[in-house]
Amino acid sequence: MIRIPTLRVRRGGFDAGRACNVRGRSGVTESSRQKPHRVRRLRSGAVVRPIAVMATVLALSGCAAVVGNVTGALSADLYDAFLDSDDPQVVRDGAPAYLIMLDALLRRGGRDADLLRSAASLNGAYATAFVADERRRRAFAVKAFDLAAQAACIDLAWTCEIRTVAFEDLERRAAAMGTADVTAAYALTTAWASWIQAHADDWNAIADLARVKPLMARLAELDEGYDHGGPHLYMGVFETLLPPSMGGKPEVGRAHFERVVQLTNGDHLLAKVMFAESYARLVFDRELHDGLLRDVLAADPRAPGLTLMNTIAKEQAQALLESADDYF
Amino acid sequence: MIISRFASTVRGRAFGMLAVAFVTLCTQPHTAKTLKIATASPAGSSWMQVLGDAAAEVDAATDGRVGFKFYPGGVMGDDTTVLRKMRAGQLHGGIVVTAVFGNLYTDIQAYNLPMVFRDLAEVDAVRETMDPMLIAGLAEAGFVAFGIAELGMAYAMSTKPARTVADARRLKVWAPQGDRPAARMLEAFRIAPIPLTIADVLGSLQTGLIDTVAAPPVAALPLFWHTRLKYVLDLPFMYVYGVFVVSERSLRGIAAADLAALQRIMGAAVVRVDKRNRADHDSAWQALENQGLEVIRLTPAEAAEWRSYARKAAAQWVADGIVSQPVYGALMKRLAEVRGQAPATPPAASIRAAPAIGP
Repeated sequence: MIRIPTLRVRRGGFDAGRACNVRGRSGVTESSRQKPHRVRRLRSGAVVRPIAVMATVLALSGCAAVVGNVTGALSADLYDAFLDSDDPQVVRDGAPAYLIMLDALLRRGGRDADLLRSAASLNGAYATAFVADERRRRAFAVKAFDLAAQAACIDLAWTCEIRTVAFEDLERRAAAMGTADVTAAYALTTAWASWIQAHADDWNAIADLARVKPLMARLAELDEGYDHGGPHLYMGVFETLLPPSMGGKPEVGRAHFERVVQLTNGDHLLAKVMFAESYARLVFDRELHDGLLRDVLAADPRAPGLTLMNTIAKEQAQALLESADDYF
Repeated sequence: MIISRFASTVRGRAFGMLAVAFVTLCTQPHTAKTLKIATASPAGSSWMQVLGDAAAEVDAATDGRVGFKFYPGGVMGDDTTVLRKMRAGQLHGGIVVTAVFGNLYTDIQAYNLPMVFRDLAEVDAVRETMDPMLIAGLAEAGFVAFGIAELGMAYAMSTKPARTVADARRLKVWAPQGDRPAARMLEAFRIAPIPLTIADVLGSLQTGLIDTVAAPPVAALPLFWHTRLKYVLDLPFMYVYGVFVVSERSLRGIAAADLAALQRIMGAAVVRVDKRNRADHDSAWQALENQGLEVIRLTPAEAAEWRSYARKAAAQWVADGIVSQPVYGALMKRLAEVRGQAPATPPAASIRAAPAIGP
């Protein structure tokens, strides 16, 4: 039997070494808050690029055993390096090769939920962080959602029809989810949100947003610390999309943002940026807005599993501060 | 990480449509006159691009003498509050729905007349000649309007099927709180309205306090109302639109040439938004269907019944002074001309058209 290694997204990192013939729920065994990732500082493309290229070459060579050993050993380190890098340029240059490698692995183990989720997460994250071209970004989002939906369909059969199931059924199913479903549901929900983001000019996507929200709300109940408080971060944004006069709940959103900050001991700088952009601007609270963003600019971006995101957050914080005089 | 650009992007079109808002954060610094404009729509709307560009264009055309500062997200209060602040001089303008003008210039609601239009082609033909009349009326009331932008036709959507007026009388129908014209319309149908704020509608649909709303698809979707609704009646109840106005006194002191540039540039921007909203209207309708709402298509006889009550409602509006007799007469005269020149389009070919039985 050919054994293809799978890369499992878990708390923002990959879990290496599971064989594709091992099926079952991809339960969460540890969290980033419980076992911090190792922090690696990669300042040069000389590190990431050769590894990724080598992995890609191996993956494409058809030598499954070699691919399995090499990529299995590298996968966790590579994704840690991705998230822990404070040099976005390095990751931007190196990640595409790894994406191609994942595509190659999918050809072999395309029905493996963990592998599908890994590919979905990395494609989505890469596009969000580095792809400016709208057409390309949309293509990445479509691919990521497709992969995440396939994965969820394997682990959570009811999600196979999630876009067409009656809304009441979706709510009922979401409410019935348990902690074992968090990995599959979170990957699906975040990829779906990304798909909506990439299709903001499509009214079908806007309609779908109503389906994403109850899923994320349930995830926040089931495992609020997952992905560094990711469920709360999304809920913070969802609750602040509309002003109160239209049914928005800014104060509920604020509580979600504050919970992310609390859960991560203030290390999640993007949460503070989103807090400022989504909440403080909506309620016109400049003092809070500027305070949050100054905190971000003053903070050390290095934090396990958050460094790359934090580095990008600092750039966004600077841009928001620069436009504050115009806004307020 | 994926979420980092989510809010601003998703707000883009969908939430920008709400409250007929054209949001921009753009403020042009160092201007001799900065017009403060409020809107209920959140920041990040794609309309920001249109009007942000327009604001920059105004700044350039006036050499920095006229600029804009927009207050998005309803931070200045609802439309009624915005109008009050305009009158108090705390704001210069706003992007507001027509109902808020009330007694100040009630004829601005003329296009809201119940079921007065068979389809959007008729809307276009009437607006071509009547927009200037309504904008002139606003000017007499002390408001300078840069233009009118549509949200689209409002359709009845419900959790229970209703084909006839008698069916509808058994439903629990929402009316916007404080919206006297809407209440009067429902009364003409002998339907008891349940007044609620927009913010309370979704929760009330969930609890069953109401089971029917009327709204343009572009409003129902971002507000998530579609998640609680099952049926949509394919009969355009009301044309819904908003107005971008500033108080006349806020423009005092601006040189005539600058004023002309301001009105030309902002007017063109509103026209661009107006056209884009038309395309959104049909797409949003399709999305409603894709979400599983069942479209109830009426027979000509059923539509005729609805329209007969709509004529009574229109007459009531005129009797109550919601729309003046001269403006109502002008609108109906223009409609007759349009229908004489171009008979109503058959339902199948029209844009979400009702069966071709006019008032």
